[in-house]
Amino acid sequence: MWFYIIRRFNLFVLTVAILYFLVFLMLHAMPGDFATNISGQQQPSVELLTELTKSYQLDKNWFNQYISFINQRIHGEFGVSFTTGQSIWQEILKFLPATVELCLYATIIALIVGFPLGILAAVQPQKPADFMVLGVSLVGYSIPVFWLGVIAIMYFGLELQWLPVAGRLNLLYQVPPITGFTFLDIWLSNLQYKELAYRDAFSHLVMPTLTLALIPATMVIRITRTAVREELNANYIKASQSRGLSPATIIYRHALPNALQPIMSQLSLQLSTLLTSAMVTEVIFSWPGIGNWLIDAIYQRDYPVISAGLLICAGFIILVSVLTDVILIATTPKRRSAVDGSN
Amino acid sequence: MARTNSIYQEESIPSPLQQIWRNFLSYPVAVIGSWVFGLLVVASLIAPFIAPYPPHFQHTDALLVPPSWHPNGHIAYFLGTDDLGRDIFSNLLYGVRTTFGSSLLVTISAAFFGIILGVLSGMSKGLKSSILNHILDATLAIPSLLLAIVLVAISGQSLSNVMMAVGVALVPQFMRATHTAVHHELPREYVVAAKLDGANQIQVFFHVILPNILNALVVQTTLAISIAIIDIATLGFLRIGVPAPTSEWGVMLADGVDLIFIAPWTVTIPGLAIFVSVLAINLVGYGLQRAVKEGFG
Repeated sequence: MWFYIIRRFNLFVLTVAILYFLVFLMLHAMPGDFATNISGQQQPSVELLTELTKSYQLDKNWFNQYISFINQRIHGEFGVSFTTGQSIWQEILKFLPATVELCLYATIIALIVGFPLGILAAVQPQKPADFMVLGVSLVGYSIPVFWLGVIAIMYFGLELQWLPVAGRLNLLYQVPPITGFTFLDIWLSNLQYKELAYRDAFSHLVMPTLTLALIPATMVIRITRTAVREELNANYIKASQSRGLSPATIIYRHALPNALQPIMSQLSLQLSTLLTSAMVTEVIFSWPGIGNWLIDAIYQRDYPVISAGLLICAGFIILVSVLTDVILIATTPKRRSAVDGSN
Repeated sequence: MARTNSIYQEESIPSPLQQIWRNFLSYPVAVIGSWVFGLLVVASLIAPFIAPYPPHFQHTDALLVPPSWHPNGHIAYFLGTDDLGRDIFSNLLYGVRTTFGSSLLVTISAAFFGIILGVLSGMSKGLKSSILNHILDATLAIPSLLLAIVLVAISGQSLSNVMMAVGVALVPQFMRATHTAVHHELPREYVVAAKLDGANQIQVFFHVILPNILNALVVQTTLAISIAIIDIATLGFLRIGVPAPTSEWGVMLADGVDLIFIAPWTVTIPGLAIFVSVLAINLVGYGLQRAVKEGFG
């Protein structure tokens, strides 16, 4: 098994190297001076320029530049932002937790809602329950996330005034950002009214999370439905049915554990869709996360920030897909030959 | 499938394509979806002839008129007007061209390149396949919207750049779908049989593999159209897509957001247009998927 894991790790390194190369090419293609774009230093002084030339090997050929580019980025040296002049790495650390928080809660909701519905649809093929679930998931999948967000703001935020429409926490609560996760920060802080702060943070979370959870939930439903139904058609299910096992036992003991494998590998492919909709959701609800930060960077033509955001988001997606692969390989011997093959 | 109106006792066996088509027609929702799809195609072709006004004509005496079924609405402005007095119905019709029409074009060109690359990577073995695969993995890991944003940032804001960006983001998905489909077919016995008969790679592909993966590719294409529509509209909504004077559904929606309190129809109507067209395409895609599966299952 270790052989496969090492192999996967090699593939990971290679893929990341190609990703860095793509970003490197983009930095070259972006308008403006390459030294400025790669470091974020606008109109650098002569000393600074010499230093940049040395650290990024700008006087050497493109291959040396590429290698030192990787070297700098891996050591957390992302340059500074055009607009704020702050270190981009620090800014990423500041904005990333908000995005992770949003995506995490949305994924959990999507799994809690989508998984049972998908199983329900799978065990009752061609019945009203199946059609209902499938119809709802098709409709939900077709709703553009920005429209949903705006409608939610219009109805729940402005018309009914149930929920706050922007931000993570009311400005009344002065919570120092320690971890970046609101609930943890409130817990760590020495606020007087923690109870109220928790409630406020929660009410800020409701709309963005539900908006973001819709599309992943429909995907979970469809993937679960297909995978479970495929397993239910297998011969071993018929064998256990003929032995007189109860339907519940068949589903929970036999079909589900086997269906989990394809579900997991398919879901990890959907991560980039989740991140994309998270970016849009953040913009609509003024959620101070990576997406909002990146879109702002586009408006400001802040090239170092754009390239850093690209590296972080895509790197994260590659990392997650490799990790799921490794987990799948470790738990199912069946997959090992497939990974080792010409795949 | 014996035909009852035939006087001969002949049993006609439909070809696979006919079978798929019959299966497809047996899903009412999919048929409705394909009708909506057809209407949108027609609308994108004849938009200038049926639109009541030019899309940017500002009716200065009719600002923010609600839709015609509203008590204050006026039938001359069927879906109302926005804050500059532009007729929303005309704008929507022209928007079919930008949002729906250009996503069709984008998908077709992305499918062309993606499928060719996917076939190359799927049919080849060893180092070449491995290199193509890693480039594919790296590009697939970049979220499509992010890639589009970067390309727009590099090359500037225009309709052709937006189309290019969305297309480039779609190519890896076509590559992956084609690659998996080809890989699924390669170990089949009839492929081996064709190889044993002495068919070369090109013959194997065109005569044996292509007919079997065509269905998967058609399904992927319909799904890609819906992704392209959402992507173009999202870019428009974020105001980094199609630049201002062009009618585009996402841009219309973004314009309406400021008016959400006094004129909610400026937000709901363009959103509804996006939703309906994406839903129609997804229904067609779903129907095709089912039809293909049952046709061969």
